[in-house]
Amino acid sequence: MQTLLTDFRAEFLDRLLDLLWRQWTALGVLGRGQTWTGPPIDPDALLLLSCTIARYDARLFDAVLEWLRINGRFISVQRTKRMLKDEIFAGEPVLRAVAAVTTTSENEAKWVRLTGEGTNKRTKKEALFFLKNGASLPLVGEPEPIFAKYGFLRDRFEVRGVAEPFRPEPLSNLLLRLRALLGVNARCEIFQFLLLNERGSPRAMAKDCYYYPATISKALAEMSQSGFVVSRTEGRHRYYKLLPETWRDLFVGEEATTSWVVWARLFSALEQVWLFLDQHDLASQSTLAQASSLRRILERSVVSQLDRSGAGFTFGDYSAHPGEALIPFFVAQMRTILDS
Amino acid sequence: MGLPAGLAGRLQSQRYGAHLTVHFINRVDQIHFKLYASADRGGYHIEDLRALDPTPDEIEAAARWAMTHDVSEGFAMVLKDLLRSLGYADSADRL
Repeated sequence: MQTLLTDFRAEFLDRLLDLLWRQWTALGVLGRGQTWTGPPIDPDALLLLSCTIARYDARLFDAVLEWLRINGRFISVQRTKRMLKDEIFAGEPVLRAVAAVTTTSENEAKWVRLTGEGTNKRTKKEALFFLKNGASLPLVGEPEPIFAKYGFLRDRFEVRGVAEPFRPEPLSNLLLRLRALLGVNARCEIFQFLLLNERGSPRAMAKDCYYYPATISKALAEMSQSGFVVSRTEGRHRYYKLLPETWRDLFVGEEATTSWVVWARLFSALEQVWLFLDQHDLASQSTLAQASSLRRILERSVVSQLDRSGAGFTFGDYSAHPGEALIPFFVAQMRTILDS
Repeated sequence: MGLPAGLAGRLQSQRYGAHLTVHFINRVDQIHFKLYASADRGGYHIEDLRALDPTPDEIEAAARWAMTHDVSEGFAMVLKDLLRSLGYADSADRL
């Protein structure tokens, strides 16, 4: 049944793809005019969402593959795996194939950990790419062998020169800049967290940065010895902050205003909304049944994830919109999120 | 063999400042090139072709032109299969 919700599917997909394009363009993918100028990007979370959503835009997907060949050493495989454990993402099987394609002699050990090497490969094969209406993108030649090995059929991947090394200056690339400076480790996320949040507890940092609490505590203890990180105990909690304040001027800019966004949480919520909208049988349900299914996914995790993502957005009291009234409220809220 | 017939006459020119003129190819010619690329390489070219939303007549004309570039049986088969999967079965049958 064609409803506001089923009509919203196309708009939601277009807006998600636009968000992905703008963020990847900021990181060094070429081919799109508009770039992301919002809060610093999380490339690990962006890769995870791309493994689901960029299947609807083969050009973007292949540009990401190219970007990984050039900048893949700045992706944290360990943290990406942690995100997969802590949040709900559907793209893990695709990520395995992406990791296998990205594996080179230079960084083999790192990416092999993501390929699921040693686990059973998928015997059932499916199209990797979809048209925007949900149909599979036709395959015209021999399937790409590595993707086929991981259960995904696609035409051969060709390098087109559409990605370049990330630029360190834009604030959007702060995490990659820190990884280039300090190495790919927890200190980069800690540093970024303290730059954007003024102060933080090890527990909060571990949750928001997707590391084990022990890893964060140990790193903070060592960083404190530098004299640039200080701690203060309030009640049962210990808070850390950066000293002196010039760190923020140096990395964020004196005038710049930005915020801390937990992208993995936000992206996981958006992906779940997409998977809901993309259900093949959604259109066959009554409006009331659609609203009921929608309410279930909102309750399960989406609203909580959106509210805790730090994107400066509160979903609001959806229980005040009973029955079918939930749908226009939900569509309006989603547009607000994607506008911000 | 060569560019689609009449391409030069369909160019749309746009001046940028005093020294730069860009000649954009017409939508019809884009359909020709994108269909050829779709059958040759697949992937995002197919998405581009769909975005151009060709009519059956346009796709048939583009297919006939593409077949002058690759005259092999194999290419004709791939091209017809592609047209059928994109919803142009009648155009494929007429080739």
